[in-house]
Amino acid sequence: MLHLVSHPNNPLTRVCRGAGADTTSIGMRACLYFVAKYPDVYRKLQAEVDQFYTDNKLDRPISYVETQRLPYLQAVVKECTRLFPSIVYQLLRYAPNNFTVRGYKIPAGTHVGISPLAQNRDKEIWGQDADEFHPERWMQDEARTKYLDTSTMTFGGNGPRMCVGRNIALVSFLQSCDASNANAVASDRAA
Amino acid sequence: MLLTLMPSLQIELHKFLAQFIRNFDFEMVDPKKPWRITTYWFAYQYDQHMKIKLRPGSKIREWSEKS
Repeated sequence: MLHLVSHPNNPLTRVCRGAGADTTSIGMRACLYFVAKYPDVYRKLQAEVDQFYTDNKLDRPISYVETQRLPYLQAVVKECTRLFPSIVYQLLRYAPNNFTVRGYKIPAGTHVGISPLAQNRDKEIWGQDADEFHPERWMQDEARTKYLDTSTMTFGGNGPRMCVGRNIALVSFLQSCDASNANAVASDRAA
Repeated sequence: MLLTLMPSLQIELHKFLAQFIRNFDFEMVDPKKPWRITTYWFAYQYDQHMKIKLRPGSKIREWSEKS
């Protein structure tokens, strides 16, 4: 696990410790819960990770870049955070002029937002098994996975109103960490 | 500000879950009462009790001493 040793005067660090730690710890508990609940998922995931360690004679903790070569692990993490997003509150926006949602006229200036829970379990997007834990839904084919990736509201949203800092977030995150730990993450990315 | 930190969540979760399932066997203490959830901005889980056992051959102790 990544240990944050922070520069105490950096305001970003304080946010990291609060907000960043909360979203991550909620995600960790959700992952353990779902994997423990479904023995077939548990076995399949453990087999995939073990196989990777054996094949690569790995004698250290797996890096992030390496985890991206484990398709089932990725599917499981996506499915856990879909059903249990860390932030469930709506991020409100002002409705523009002439704004209509499914025939309902929304007056300009009204505060509107989407619940990540509702979005992540919408049967029109995810199908009739929307409420079920089914990691394989992420492994059907590339086009379907892409569609689901852009539909999920777990990692800062998507589209024109998605989290504006998504791409720069990691850089800021690294700058606020202790140098040695930052290097460990940086080498993960470069590997 | 809050959501700009979400990519770190994505990175940490992949590493965490892979390393956890590599090094530990785990199960819920009571599958019928897995946790208690209180939701405001976040959906916090409480009282999530689990039995966790080091897997045979796990090197996580060695690794954490090195780092």
